[in-house]
Amino acid sequence: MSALTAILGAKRAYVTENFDPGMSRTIASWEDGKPGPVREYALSGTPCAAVMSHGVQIVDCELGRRYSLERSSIGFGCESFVGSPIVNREGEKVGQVCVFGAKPLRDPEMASALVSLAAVRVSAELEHRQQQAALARSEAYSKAIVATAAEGIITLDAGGRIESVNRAAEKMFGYEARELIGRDINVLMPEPYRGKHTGYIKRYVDTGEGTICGAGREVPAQRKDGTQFPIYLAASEVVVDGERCFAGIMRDISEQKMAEESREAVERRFRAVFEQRHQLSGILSVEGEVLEANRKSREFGGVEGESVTGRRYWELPWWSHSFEMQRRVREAIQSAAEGETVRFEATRPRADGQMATLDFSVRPIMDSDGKPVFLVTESHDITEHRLAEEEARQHRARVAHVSRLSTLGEMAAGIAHEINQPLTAISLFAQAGRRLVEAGRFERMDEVCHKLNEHALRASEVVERMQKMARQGENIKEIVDCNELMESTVKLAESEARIYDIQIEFDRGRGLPPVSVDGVQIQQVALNLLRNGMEAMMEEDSRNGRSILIRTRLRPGNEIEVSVTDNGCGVSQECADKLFTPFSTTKTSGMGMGLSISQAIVRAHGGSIDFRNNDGGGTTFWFTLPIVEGEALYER
Amino acid sequence: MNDSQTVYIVDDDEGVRDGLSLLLSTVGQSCELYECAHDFLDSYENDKRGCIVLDIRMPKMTGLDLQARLIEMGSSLPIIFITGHGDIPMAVEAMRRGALDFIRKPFREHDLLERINEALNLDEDAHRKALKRQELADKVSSLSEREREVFDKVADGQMNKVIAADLGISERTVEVHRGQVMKKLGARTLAQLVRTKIETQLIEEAV
Repeated sequence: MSALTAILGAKRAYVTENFDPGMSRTIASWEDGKPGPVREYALSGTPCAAVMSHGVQIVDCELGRRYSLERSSIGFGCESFVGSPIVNREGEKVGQVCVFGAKPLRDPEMASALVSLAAVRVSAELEHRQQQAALARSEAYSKAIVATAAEGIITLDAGGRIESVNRAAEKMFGYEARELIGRDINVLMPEPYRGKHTGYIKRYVDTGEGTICGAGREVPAQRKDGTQFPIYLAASEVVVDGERCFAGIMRDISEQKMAEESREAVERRFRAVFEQRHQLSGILSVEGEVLEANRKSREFGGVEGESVTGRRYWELPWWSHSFEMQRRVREAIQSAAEGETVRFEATRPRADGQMATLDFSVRPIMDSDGKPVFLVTESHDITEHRLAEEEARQHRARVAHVSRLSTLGEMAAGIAHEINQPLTAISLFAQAGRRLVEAGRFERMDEVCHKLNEHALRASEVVERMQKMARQGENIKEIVDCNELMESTVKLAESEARIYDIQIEFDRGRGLPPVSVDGVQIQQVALNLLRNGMEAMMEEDSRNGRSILIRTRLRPGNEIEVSVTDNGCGVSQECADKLFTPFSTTKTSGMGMGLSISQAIVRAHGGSIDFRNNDGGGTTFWFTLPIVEGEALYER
Repeated sequence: MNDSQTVYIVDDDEGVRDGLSLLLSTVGQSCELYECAHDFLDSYENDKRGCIVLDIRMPKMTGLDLQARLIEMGSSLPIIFITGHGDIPMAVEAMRRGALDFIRKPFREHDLLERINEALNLDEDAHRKALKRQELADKVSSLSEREREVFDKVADGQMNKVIAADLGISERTVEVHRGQVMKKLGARTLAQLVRTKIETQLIEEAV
């Protein structure tokens, strides 16, 4: 600038830059042989404006006459002007170099050339400065970022030696930066990686073998105190001045890892439990979509996991055998989605096609607000259990049947008598009728025929009662009135009572709710008790009449009690102990099975059976039956 | 059949009672029906005539029990037992105690009616015999003490002379007493007198 003024003999020289539109500012100034202040000025009205719009301008003399520079901070009182625009790389005019002379220019062309040349140089200089500034800024930013970054950042030279360590890395590894700089990066690695890593980078640099860059990965690391921890490392390779160097950004992921591990452990435990369960388990969305099905359930259904997940549970192939099952399962899932637990006995085919009975349940898992978030299905294969139960039941039914037949055999005389009575009546009426017809006395025939029918029906009722007892029995539970059941039992027992000259009294309990029983079996129990009672009374004197009382009543606890009270000899302590044991009998006839079978029957019905010796002599045997609750009744 | 005779039916089975009653009515035989032994005993009098058709098995009091009571009470009503069972020991016991017969249910009307007839005839005979015995007893008791002594000795086959000596009276007086005895007892010959004596002895022995 000073050289320029000296060469041109100029009073002032400026390098300016434009800032706002129409405004310019000096970035370098030389006034009267020394550096001048920064001046800001409006271009308008100055020769500078022409430079910006038309390029290089020369005013060789009488500048003050051409421009009124009185109010401008530059060029006032000067005689000549040379200005050249500063053009940047993009071709924009960003400022100018201008020189004001105190005298008219002696050689305007030379002045113009010099100024233009200066403008070109300034332009280059400015460019360089801008770049420098940008670089410095960027470097400052980088440094700030590196220093304050939460991630540890370590740079290495091509030999794998540590060049820089940021604060986060210091903290992470427990070293101070100065302890690390210059050392091999493997100091931060645990064995056996440490040994293997030595020279790894150098070899990479020399031969290009192996990789160190690319996507981030999890690697083990070691602190100054020797503890190991996992880090997540992203490395990059940079070439600076032809020299390779490496930067690693790392994050301590031990906590994250621990969380992951514990999550994984929970998951593994859940898997282990869920998968290894002996039960068939599944997890469904509240909409009934299968999210998970455990191994057992997949095996059971003969399917692979993928083929069931995402499907509606009730549409799975193993329910397809029954529309009814599908409906029930769907309804159960809908109820569960509303917060209910539903359980019922379901049937579905096994993988081998065999039909299985399952104890099926679906229950909702609630969130903290009590809203179902998913559903858990569970099925327990109870086929074998049911089969065993069924077998036991059938066995019991067979034994009961044999016992009934045996009882009927013992009762044959009484039953024969029971049938003989109406037959006798029929025979008498028929013979009398014939005589009436022979005598032409038809007026009583209506009565005779009526009686014939009445007694024929009476006989058939006896036969029917006996047939019922003799039947194998389908072992079907039916809802019955206990009094009705006992009524017909009493009739059956009466055939024998007559032979023993015993009166059976029946005290009917009032307002008894119905029971769900196998009628024949319960009759068998009551009959057995009545017969035992009658037998116990055989020894007693019959002169004043012997009677046995059967009574029904409602007991607290939703049970009906049937009791049989005799005036017999009572039960001795010795007998009492083995009363319900099979084949124990004090009688000369019979198998000694009666009470043991009665007990089995009553228990199978959910009741109990026992006896007590009465104070006034005699014994009361009783058994209970659970009554049918309202809902079960409606189901029927 | 006799109007003064009644068939007493004791059976706990209404159908059997009704049937028997109807059948008997077709042959013009009157009957009375009892549901149990006690009912019959309550209304029983020794002068009842006819027969009893009795069920052997009944609650409270059996047919056998009733038979025993009737025997105790001196009843002579013939009893036909009826039963639905072939209960041999009971039948034997009943027959041993003098039952007329033992019929199993159901009955053939012929058998039943025949048995009832038989029973009624028995009853009739017994009744007639009883009447005759009564008549005889009345006649014997109408004799004076002396006449009775004479009757006993004549019937024993003693001569008038011996009787007179025994009693310390004249032979003539014996003859007068003997004529009076023959007249009172309605005997025309000695043989008739002897028979009356035997009959009297039998009755006295029986009592």
